[in-house]
Amino acid sequence: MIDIIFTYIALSIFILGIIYKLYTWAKSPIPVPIGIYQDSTSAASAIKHILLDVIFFRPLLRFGGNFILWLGSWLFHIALFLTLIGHIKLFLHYPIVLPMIEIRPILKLFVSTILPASLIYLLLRRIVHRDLRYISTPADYFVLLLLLGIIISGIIMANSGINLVAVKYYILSILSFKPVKVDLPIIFWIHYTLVLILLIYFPFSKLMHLFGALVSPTKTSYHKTKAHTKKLEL
Amino acid sequence: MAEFPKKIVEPNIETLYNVSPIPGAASKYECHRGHEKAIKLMSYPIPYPPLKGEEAIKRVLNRLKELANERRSVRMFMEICVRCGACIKQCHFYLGTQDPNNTPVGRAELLRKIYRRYFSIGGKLFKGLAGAKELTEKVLNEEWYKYFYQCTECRRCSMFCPFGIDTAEVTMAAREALASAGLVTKYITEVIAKVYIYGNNLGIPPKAFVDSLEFFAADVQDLEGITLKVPVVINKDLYEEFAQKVLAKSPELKQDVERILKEIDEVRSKSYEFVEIKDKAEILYVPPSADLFTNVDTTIGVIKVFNAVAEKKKIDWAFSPFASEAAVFGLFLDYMDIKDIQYRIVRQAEKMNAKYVVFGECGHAWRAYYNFLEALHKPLSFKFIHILEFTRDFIERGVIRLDKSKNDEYIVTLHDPCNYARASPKLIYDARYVLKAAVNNFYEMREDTIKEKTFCCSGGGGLLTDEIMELRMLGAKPRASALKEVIDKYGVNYLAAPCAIDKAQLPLVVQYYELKNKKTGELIKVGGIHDLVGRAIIFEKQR
Repeated sequence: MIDIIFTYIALSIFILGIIYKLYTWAKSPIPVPIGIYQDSTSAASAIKHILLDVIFFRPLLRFGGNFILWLGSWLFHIALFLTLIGHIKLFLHYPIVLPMIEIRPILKLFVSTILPASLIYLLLRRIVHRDLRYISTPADYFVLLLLLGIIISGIIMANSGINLVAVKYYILSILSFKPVKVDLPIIFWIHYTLVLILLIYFPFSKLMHLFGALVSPTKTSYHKTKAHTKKLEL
Repeated sequence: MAEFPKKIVEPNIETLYNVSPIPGAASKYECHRGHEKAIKLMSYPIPYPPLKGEEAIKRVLNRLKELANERRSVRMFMEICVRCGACIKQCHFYLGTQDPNNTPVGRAELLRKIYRRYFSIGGKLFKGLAGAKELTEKVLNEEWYKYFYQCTECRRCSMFCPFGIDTAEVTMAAREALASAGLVTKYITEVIAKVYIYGNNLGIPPKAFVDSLEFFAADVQDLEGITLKVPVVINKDLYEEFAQKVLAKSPELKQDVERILKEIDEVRSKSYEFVEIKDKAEILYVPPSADLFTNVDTTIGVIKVFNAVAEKKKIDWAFSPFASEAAVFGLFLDYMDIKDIQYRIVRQAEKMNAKYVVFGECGHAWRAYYNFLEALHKPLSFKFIHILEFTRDFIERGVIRLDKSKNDEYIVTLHDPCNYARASPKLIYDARYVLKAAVNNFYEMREDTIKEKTFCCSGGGGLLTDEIMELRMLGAKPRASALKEVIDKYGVNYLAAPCAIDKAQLPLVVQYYELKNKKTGELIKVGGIHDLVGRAIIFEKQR
């Protein structure tokens, strides 16, 4: 019973919280549009820059010693993205068969090693580098540890021969507002609870950088100058 | 005034990024506080004497809340930073001082910790655990006032942040919040006050302005036999209009204002050999005022460009002592002063029926006009262009011709001013075009120190003041390191820096780091691009 209540609370806070946060961002105007890309003079070019920055983590590739950070953080986000895609099958009524089913074990192995390894890198670097220690907040460590807990419990669970049909049944029953009781092992509940905590935490934390990366005002601003000219009519 | 500091770090590009944090290393650098005479002339309502205690804290928090509501950048940049640290080794002040509060993220966190405590749910509930901190007078004076005046708003950090967080916007917001409690610096408020009274940062009154131009042209006539015409527009009623605003705030300035108006009458009634006084012109040229005082060769170069164009085309241009300052020091304090300083140029252009305004070699002009003008002033009766774009256009069209060999004694490298490099329309490429058209020997500094990633000279952002000289010199360490590399490798002896702040700051940097011409042992020469253009330009109808 408590698991169901907690789920609905967490989902509501997650969805309403994100909407609220995005609303507060949108409500503040951009009185002076100041972009950071010199050739960005149209919405199309702004979108192009944002996509390049988000898909390839381009700013981390610029000269200046951030390459290891690029590698660690990009691999983490890719592995996370693939993991989340893999979870889609829990939310759909119909069975999904991935094309080229041979990929699945390779993908699974890749994700289940890269994901925790890159996360541990992100955690360790924050502990090892003095300048990062100085500027990190307790929240930064909390999020990394929370994610680590989710990932490790998820890997253990995935390798424990858990009854995925039962999990799917449970999830779908909650989403269709006809919740049922299920008998699942403790490792599932640990994973599930940590995920719900993450959902509640999400809108009020730096995890909103997910949206921030897409609508950062210095990237969405492009210069529509009418008064500037590069030539005189002379 | 303290004596010029001795070098305490070595410029070495190989070890540029090998820095580790020394907390508090830069806490000794503090700008002098503003005084009443200048503060009361500001457009922004700055309380004097500065507020204290609870009142100060309340006012600052209130302004911070307003800023987050008024500017999406302030709100989002407080919330989307993930402390990844990609920006840490990209700020010249961190690389020079090693104080972690001078990292972009460290500087922003000074503001964020307070923002969280009062404006975020996590911060209000969990306080320290969420990285939130209470605002006290100690924070305002020991952290904010010190470290937000250790940023030149050069925006290099925004190039490396995955989210494009622009620490300059954070600094501008923090400074405005400080200003709302009366915490402002002497240098910035004094300079802005001079603009409102005299029309430029240096306080050059109209007669000295016009006489200087006459003197420069006379010099060129004597030394080179070239006759230059220097048109100047003076509209006395414009001066009278703006004088009223100044006198409304500071009636005790009556004598100064009257003297300025008298000088205008003198100038109008005097006859000059080279200067031509008029009321209207199609093109208004606005220099940074330092170009009338120390960067004379740049001004001569520009005057020569206009005169060379005039040999082939009908060009109706002029200086104006009323609009004798391109730089907008309001950038370092608040939007209201940006608007009112720009308004002088806007009104002068309207009054003289100018179709174009040409800005001189000045970074704080470009940043202010390219980013802010159209947002703050509508509608505009003119178009604006940078002198580098202007000159480039005429070189490309073959209207101006240059003899590069005239500059062969110089082996030149280019320092990209930070305000040209970040978000302006390719000005750094126009600079290269014009420079390479004027010199034969040109070498670039290392790739990560130029163009969009240029390292700021560390003199801008309102920091060009003596009491923080050592800070300025330390912040210039990356630029000095890159410069030293090309001196050693290519024998560079001329640093082209097309920006007035650079021209004031970089000669001191060259002195501090003992960067000398390999052949002659003299300190490296720092100058503008139009200085070199002026030496190379060909006058076909004269001589």
